[in-house]
Amino acid sequence: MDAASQPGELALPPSTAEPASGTSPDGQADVAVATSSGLPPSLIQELWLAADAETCGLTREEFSTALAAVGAKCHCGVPPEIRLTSAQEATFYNSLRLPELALAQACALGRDDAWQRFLNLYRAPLTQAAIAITGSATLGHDLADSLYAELFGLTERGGQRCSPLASYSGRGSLLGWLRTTLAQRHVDHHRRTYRETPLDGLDAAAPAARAALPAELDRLKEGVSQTFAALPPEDRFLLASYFLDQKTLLRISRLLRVHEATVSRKLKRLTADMRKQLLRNLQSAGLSKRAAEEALGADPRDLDINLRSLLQSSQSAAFSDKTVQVSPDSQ
Amino acid sequence: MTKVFQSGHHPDADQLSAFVEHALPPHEQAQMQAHLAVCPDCRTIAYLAQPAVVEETAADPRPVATRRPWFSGWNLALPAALAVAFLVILGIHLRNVSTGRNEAQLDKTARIEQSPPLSQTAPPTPLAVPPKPIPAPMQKPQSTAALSTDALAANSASYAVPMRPEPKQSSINGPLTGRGGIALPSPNPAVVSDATLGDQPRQAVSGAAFRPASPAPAAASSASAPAAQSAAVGSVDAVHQELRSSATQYNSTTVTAQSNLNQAFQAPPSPPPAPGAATETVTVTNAPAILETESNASSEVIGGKAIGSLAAPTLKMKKQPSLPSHLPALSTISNTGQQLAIDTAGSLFRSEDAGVSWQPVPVQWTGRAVKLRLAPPPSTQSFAKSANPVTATAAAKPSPAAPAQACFELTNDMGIAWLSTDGQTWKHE
Repeated sequence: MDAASQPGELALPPSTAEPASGTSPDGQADVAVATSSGLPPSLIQELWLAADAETCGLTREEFSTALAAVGAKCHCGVPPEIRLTSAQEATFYNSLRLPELALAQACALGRDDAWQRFLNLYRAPLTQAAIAITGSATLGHDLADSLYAELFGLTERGGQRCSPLASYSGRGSLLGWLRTTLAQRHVDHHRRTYRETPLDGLDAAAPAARAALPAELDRLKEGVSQTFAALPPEDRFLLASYFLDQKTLLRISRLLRVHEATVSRKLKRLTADMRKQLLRNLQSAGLSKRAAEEALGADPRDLDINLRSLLQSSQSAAFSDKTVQVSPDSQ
Repeated sequence: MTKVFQSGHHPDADQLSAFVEHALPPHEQAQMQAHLAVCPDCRTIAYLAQPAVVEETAADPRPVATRRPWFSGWNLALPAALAVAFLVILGIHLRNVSTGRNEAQLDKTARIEQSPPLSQTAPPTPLAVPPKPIPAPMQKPQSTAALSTDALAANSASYAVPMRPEPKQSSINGPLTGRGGIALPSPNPAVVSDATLGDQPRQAVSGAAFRPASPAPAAASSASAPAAQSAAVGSVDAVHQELRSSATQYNSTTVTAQSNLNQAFQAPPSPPPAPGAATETVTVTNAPAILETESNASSEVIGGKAIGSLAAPTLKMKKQPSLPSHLPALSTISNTGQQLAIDTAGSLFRSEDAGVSWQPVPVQWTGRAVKLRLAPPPSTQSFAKSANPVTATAAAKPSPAAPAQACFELTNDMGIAWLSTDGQTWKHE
């Protein structure tokens, strides 16, 4: 199992990994389920009926346990510092995609009927999504097949089957979750193959001895760093997506659910504001306005500034550490 | 914050897919954006997790209804309708053009008819009548009518009989030009234009001339010849009055012209009323138009069409003479009970009973007879001034016999005229 899917598995309650064998949904069991999950029995009954979980071979207890795990993971959609109310809980649970959640939980528990239904519903879309992500039919089929094996729970942890489907919370669509999982696996595969690529062609020359920068360039570097550090997360995400990842305005707009013209205006305004902020930072550092403007005209190659590192400070390292940390487990 | 958003961790697939589908609550959305801003791998996953547009299109193919324009079914009918409309418009246009041409021709002919030949000098065209400087007092109303009808015949002969191209214009302007422009050396072109009767003055003159004549035809058609003739003479008088009034600034030249005309008219001491001198007499003396004439005297038929000058409506009402050749009359003329007619074949017929019976006249002229008119008696000064002594002798011959009678003049297609006093024997002019 790769690192990307691990947090979801951690959120899965241990009880859901065990199939509920022959539990009859009688009144005593309902009380026991309500007690264990902390949810009102009427709400559980209502959600269980709405999810049509019985057709997937999922009992009320199993379903209530899954709901409780989702609520605990997401804090029922409210910030952690806010105390939950029963109404908020009911609203949160009712807003979930209950049929897909029940199907995913049943598949994670290894119910055959659920798997049959899952394959009927999602086999073709999953293959198409894999082909779209990889850009190749062969790689897409390979990626989809590998995901099927993983979803079925062939990997075991602590003597128990581990299925990534258990991490599905039902907030988004199951197909979207599957697509994201495919993308994660594709990125992991790319990273593994990238590591195996010989570095002959990519080996850069050894950096020369760092020459002392003029005072103006030092001030400029400091000012740029301060400006980037003061950017809000949304602007950093926008700049990184457009300038670093070179995503199109259309793709950015679709991810942010805004019009691409809005993205364009935001980018234009953002760069203008950054220039003004940089000038202010340089002036506050002791440069005159004219000197600050002249400093902005300096050749960027004279600056020892890595904008990528400024935008993506330490998160890439964490991802690498995590990968290194998880890799022995997956093997 | 959930456990996955702790430092050094990445969001799982569930959170990323919820972020892509905008199913996260606002605070988690902001956290996710902050993480994506600094995490290129998660950004890559998020962008890869987006449903592709092509995939959406393939999954949900929407049939595009091809909409045809409403007029697509009229692809064949539309050109056909346009062609039919074009043909209709073309037909109407051609009809209007032909009608306009006919009207213009008739208008031109009418203008020709309305312009009285007042020239005392020789007209420049062979079709025009040779100069007839016959001064005569206005005692013969027939001559007045004959004057205008002669001019009509001379001018409109080309309308009915195809002849040389020049005659039409020359016959139109010949007498008028000779009257005003030639006889009077006026340096001012206004005089000439007035005398030559350009379109506007000519219309004014003709309108003034025809106005009194218009009511006359009805009476004339009912054999009230004197009334029609007096009206005709009165209209000629009105023509000259109009001309005189329109050229008041050229009184001197007009007076000169009048004096010339008076001299010409007063030259014969006491000739009997000559038909040809009626016009000049009217012009000079402005006498009352009480004349005795026959209604048929002023009629002319050209090309089978009755074209009258002063009594055009009357002429149109007149009955065509039934000639022995059974051909339509090309030109007819009558004088004192005698009536002559030329049919379209050029044969001349003579009647002494007002057109009841016709006798053919043997051909005594060359060419083809095309026109008849009344000419003044040959015993005038102009005949004496004629350069041709033979003509002068021949013309002077009938004057003792019938001093008061006008003679007939026949013009052939070459413009040569023959004279006759009785319509039976013809002499070359």
